Amino acid sequence: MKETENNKLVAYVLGDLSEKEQQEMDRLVRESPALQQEVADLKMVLGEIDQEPEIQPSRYSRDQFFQYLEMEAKNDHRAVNEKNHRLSWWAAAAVALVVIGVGFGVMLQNHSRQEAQIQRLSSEVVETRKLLLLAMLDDASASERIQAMNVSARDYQQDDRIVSALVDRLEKDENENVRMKAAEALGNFLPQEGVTEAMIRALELESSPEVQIMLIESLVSGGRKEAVPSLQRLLDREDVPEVVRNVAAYGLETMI
Amino acid sequence: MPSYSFGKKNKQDRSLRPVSNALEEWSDEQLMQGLSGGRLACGAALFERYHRPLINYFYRLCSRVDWSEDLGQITFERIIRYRHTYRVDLPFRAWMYQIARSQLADYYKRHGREMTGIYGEDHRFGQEAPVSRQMESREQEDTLQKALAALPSEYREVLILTRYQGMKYQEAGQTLGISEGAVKVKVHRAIQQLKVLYFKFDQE
Repeated sequence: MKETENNKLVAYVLGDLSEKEQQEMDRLVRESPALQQEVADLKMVLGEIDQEPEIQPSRYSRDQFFQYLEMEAKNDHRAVNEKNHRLSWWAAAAVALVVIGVGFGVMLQNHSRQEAQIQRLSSEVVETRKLLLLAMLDDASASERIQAMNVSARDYQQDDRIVSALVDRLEKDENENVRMKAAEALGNFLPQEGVTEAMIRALELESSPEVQIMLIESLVSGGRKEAVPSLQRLLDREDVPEVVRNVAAYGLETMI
Repeated sequence: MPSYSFGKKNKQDRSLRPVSNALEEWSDEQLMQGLSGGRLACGAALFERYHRPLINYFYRLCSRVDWSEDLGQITFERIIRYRHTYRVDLPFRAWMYQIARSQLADYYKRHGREMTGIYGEDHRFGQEAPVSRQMESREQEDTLQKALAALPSEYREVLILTRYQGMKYQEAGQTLGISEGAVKVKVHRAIQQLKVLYFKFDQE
C-alpha cells in the first residue's frame, strides 16, 4: 500500500474521514481480508497507547506549589498596601480641598474591604497548605512523611494540629527514620505545651537507638531540665545500648 | 471561595479537593480569568485539574520522573506569575502547554539534551521510578516504549497531546502553532509509523 492509502486507513480507524469517505472505506475493508488485518493491527496499537500507565505526582510537589501560591498571595497583599498608601495621599488631597467628606469615607471602606478579601485569600492558601502537610504526614509512603517533617520544622512553629501530628508520628510510626525525623522536628517546638512531655514519654518507650539518640539530643539542646530524671533512668537500663547511654550521660553533664 | 477538605478516608485517596464548590465546575478559562483578576484560589483549582496530566506530559517526553516534577512545578509557577498575560481567546490548555513546551526546551538546553531520541533512554524502571507505579513490566509496554522512542519527536508530541492529553486537533494546533489540518496529517502519519515500528520491535 502507498503511504497516502496507509494514512487514509489510519484516518478511517480514528473516524477522521467524512461520512461519505468513511462509508466507502467500510465497503473496501469488508471486501479485503488484508485491509481487515491492517485495521486490526492499528486498533491493537491504539489500544496499547491508551493503556500506557500514568505516573502519580508526589505530594511534595503539591506542597511546593501551595508554598509558591502562598508567597504570591503575600506579594499581592503587599502590592495592595502600597496602592492604598498612594491612594491615601490622594485622599488627603481630597480632604484638603474639602470636596466631599462622604466620598472619602466610601473610598476608604472600599479599600479596606479589598484588603480584607486578599487577607482572607492569603490565609485560605496557608490553610490549604497546612491541610496538605497534615495529609503528607499521614501518607502511606515514608519518604513523603519525612519530607513533610522537614517542611513542618521549617515553616509551622505555631500550629497545634501540625505539632500533634508530629507527636503522633513520633509515638506511632512504624518507620524508624520517620520517628527519628519527628524527634528532630519536634526539637523546634519544645517550648510549646505538651511537646517536652511527649518526647520524654517517647524516650521511655522507644526501642530504636537512633531515635533514642535524636530524642536525647533534641531535649538536651533545648535545655529541657524536665528530662533529667528520665535521662538518669536511661543510664541504668540494661536494654539500652551503650552508645545511647553515653549520649545520655554527656547530655546530663551539660544540663546539670 | 472553596473550602478544602480531605476526600474519602481511604489512604490512597486523600488528595485535597475543593468540596461542594462552584470553582470545581468553572471552565478552565473562567478559572484563568479569576486568577488574573487576583483570585489565587482559582490557581489552586487549575493546579488540581492539571498537575497530573502536565507531569505525565513531561514524563512521556523526557522519561524522567524528577525532571517531570520539576518542570510541572516551573510551569505552574509561570502560569501564576504571568497570569495577567493570559488572553481569553486562547484555550487555557493550549496556553499551558505552550508554556510547558518552552520550559522543556529550556531544560534540554541547560542539561544538554536534544529534543529527539530521548524517550529511548529508559529511566522509568530505574531509581527514579515512583513507588506508586505498577512495577510489572508488560512485554507489549516495552515494545510500545521502543516504538515511541524511535518515532520523530514532532510525531511523538502530537500523539501525546491528542491521545494522552485528550486534545482536539484544533487545540493541539493552537498549542503547537500549526493548523488543525497539519495536526491531523501528523497524527495519521505518527500512528502509521508507530504501527510499523511496533511490529518491527515486536518481532525482534
